[in-house]
Amino acid sequence: MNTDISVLYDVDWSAILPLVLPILILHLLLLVVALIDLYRRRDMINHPIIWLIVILLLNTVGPIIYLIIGRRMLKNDRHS
Amino acid sequence: MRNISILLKVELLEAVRNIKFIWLTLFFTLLGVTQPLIDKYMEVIIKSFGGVEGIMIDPNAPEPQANEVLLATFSGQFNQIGLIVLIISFMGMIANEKNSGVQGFIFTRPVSSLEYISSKLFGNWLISMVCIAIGSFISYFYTVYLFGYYPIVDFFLFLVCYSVWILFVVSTAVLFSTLIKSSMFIGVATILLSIIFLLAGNINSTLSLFLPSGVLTLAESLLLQTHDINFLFMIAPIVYILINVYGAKAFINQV
Amino acid sequence: MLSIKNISKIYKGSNKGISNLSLELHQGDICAFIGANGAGKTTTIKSIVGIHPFDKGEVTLFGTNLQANPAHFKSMIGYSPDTPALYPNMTGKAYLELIASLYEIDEGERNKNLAYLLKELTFETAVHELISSYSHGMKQRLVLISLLMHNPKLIILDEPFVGLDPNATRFLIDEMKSRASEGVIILYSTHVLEVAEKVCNKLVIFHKGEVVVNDTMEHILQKASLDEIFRDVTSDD
Repeated sequence: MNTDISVLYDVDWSAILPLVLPILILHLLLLVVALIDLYRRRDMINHPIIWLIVILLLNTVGPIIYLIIGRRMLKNDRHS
Repeated sequence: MRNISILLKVELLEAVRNIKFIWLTLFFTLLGVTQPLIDKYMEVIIKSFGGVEGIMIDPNAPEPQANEVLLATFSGQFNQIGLIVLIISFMGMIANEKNSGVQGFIFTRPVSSLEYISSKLFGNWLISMVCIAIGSFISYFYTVYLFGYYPIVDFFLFLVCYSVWILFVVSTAVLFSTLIKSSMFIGVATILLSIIFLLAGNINSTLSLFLPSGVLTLAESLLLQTHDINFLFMIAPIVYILINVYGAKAFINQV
Repeated sequence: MLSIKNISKIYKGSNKGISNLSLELHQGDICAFIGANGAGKTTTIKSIVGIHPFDKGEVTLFGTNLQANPAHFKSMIGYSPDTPALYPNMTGKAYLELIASLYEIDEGERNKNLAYLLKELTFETAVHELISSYSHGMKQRLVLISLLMHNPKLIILDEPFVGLDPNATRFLIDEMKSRASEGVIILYSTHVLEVAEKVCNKLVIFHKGEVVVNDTMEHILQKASLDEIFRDVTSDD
């Protein structure tokens, strides 16, 4: 795989961007939804910091895992 | 009927509060736009990134039709990773309520087990189909934009058939929920059974007449506008769904 | 009239449960279930309200059989479990509306009952909060409101006084007495013998899944104090 950074300059961004844009926007939306939810539930769920890392580092999968599993892993009920 | 709609509303409200509608829709939209993009621009993308050695692209390959791309979206994205995430998203629908005691408490109210089961089945089916429908219509418009016209009515019919398959998948999860305690194992069992039916349905069309995944064969022939459209494929999934529902009613162990 | 005939329920994988239990309660009865933990009080209660299907026997309430017509049977009872399980994401008000809509009760009557119960249990502001923020006592009060709202003919309470504050306890005792005088059957389990002595006219003592004492309070108290009888019948081995 060619990992030389200079290759990015040769990319025809104007041709690719309109196509990749919808996907980028959707990824970003999913990320934002997960982050907003994490922020709102930061006091309720277990290990919010670990979930923050999972959401940020794992592309798409991270937010999905958090939204399915993470947000339900609540700390024990304080009242009972 | 009245109780079903009351409990169904609870299910939908819960999904709204859990922002499930938002993220599941986003997820299916993402899947829906990925496939057409791959089909159309793989070549362009690879070329722009300086050409990866070892990957050969046949320059004479014909560009796929819109309906072929849509089919690939459903069979390659929605029915694979999409189905897995979808099942995981509702695998706890009954198990969580059973373990927390909410279910037992509901059954001390004048609610029958069939009403409870139906509300879970239709509630989660409705949630899933709203998210899938939005995702697939965005996918449809994107595909049509990239690959040319395809009648939206035909795509809608395809989606209706696909929704029967999803209803079967939800009913399977409902049945397993009454047999298995842990929501994780309910999810795994449902995913495995769905995949087995999906694979078996691809073997031949006579066999798939007797499988719930047969409705996908019907959906496919509707989408590709072939001439062997056979509505008998509808029978098997409906029978399987009824078996699942009445099985769940028998196993839920309630007066 | 509530009649329980020969019901048995043995949990799978253990020999715990209840066997061959019979009981009859008439209109206006307030009956207490007492017994050690695991004696079968909760199992019996859960069998009557329809959470645990029992292995054999039958339960009828005013001629309606639980197994033959569960929906009608359940519409006549009000039940409070030992640990209230509610929808955490709802407000108390939304929950009460949901429960009320499951019983087909007249809207005017329901609202009147609701206003009265909310006031008496000082729940008028808390009802607008999310259930997930409630304490155990608040959840119990919400359950009490939800079960009294539809004027049940049989009230079944599993450990109702645990976690209730003194005001709510007093209200509940008064409510039990006044409803019983209107012909409602009330059945509850407890560990507190003093309250049972004051409130009940019938007493059932459980021991190892069987009913060892089933008599009116008057009869029992003629023989000895409640405390003595309880110790006597539950320590025979």
